[in-house]
Amino acid sequence: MTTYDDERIGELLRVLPPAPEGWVRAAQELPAARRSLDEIVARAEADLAFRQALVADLESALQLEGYEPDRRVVDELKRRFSES
Amino acid sequence: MSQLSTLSDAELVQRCREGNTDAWNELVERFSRYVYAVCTRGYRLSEEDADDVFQEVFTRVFTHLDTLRNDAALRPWIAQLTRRLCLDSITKRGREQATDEPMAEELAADLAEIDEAFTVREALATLSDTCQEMLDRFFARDQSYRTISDELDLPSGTVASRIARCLSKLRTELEGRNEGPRGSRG
Amino acid sequence: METEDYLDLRIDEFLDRLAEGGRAPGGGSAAALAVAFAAGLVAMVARCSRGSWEDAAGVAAQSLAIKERAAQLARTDADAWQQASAALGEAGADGDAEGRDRELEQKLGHAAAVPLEIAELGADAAALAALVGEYCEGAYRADAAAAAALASGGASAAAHLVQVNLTVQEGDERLKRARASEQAAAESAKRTLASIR
Repeated sequence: MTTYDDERIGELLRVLPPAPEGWVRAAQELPAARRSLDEIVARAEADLAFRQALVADLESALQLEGYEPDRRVVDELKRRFSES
Repeated sequence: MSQLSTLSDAELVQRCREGNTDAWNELVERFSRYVYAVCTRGYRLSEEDADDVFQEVFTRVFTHLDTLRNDAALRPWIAQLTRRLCLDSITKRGREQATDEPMAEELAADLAEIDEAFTVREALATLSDTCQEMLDRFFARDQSYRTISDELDLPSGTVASRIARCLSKLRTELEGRNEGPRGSRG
Repeated sequence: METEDYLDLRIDEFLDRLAEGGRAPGGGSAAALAVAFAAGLVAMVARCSRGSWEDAAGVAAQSLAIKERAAQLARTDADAWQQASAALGEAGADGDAEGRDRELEQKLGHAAAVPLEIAELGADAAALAALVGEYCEGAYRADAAAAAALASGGASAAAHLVQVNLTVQEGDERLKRARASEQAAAESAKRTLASIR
């Protein structure tokens, strides 16, 4: 059984400072990033021309269509379309 | 501090599975400090590597939440995942980083302390919003009494005494947890 | 010797390094350690007052946190000062002048941020010293007063370092904060010292 005194509690509170705000935000945006990825993949499956554009030059194709996905989505798309 | 912060880990997992975005935000918030500390204080990863591991941990948690068999085991699952990814990161760096790796005993002690610190933070979440803010701002965020006084709109001469009293309340909460099973978040 | 070794030195060794010409550690590190000494004294007085004062344990915990932060800043200040000096030394060299100016501004900015933090810690340590001086047993009041005086001295020294930093002009928010910390620390020290006279 651990016993705590005020000094030890103070020390332990210092052990867990906040993570960088940007990191936390990026992690919290994962659901939105996933929806964005799913939307792009669904469209690529339904639209051959879009799919071919993605395979030829992923970033340009996304930019042309007005997508601004984050790095993780781009990395995942590159992985998927290079394997296909 | 939101209503979601009072949910148990199991309840939080349920809501995340239902697609509740606020619940996911709370999950990240709840474990972000822990993951960060394991990466930087435990495994002493560089900021860049720690960032990569941090994002990978939460990506995997998000992607594989459905496979978690015991929802109440969220914390040990995240802990194990983080440790594994930290080790992978060190291995990827190869021998050039070998001398920076924490010795095994020191690592075990640091990780145990991080776990203990997380328990303290769980207890902190049961205190009033003001106490939570004061203790977090002073001890974890290194804010001065003046900054705390300005941002929480408290008389500056009272901040130190208030922090002392909040610490006492936190101690009482932790002692209560030691005494027997309570409805904790874990 | 790397600055991260400073806190591993014996006191006499550190003092010898401080007295050496032309390099870190300098005034900022000395100011930070003065604040750390103050916080250590406050922790001692608070611990000795646990039997008679409800808030003693919590005040001890806070002063230990300030002690740790101030000690780390002794090291950080030395690093910041060395980097700023190196950047100043390269200021007139040939090549990418704009890039060097940006780097110089950034390094000097950091060299002002660290003493600002030391000044603010000094104000907090002095406030704790005043608090503990009010509630501690008589035998320890002189230690509380010594803590307040040390914290005030550290805050004042650090505030001056913020002022002389090349990037800090009159009206700069950092200067206002540094002076406010210096003043707050001085007031705490004055109160504490007056109470034992």
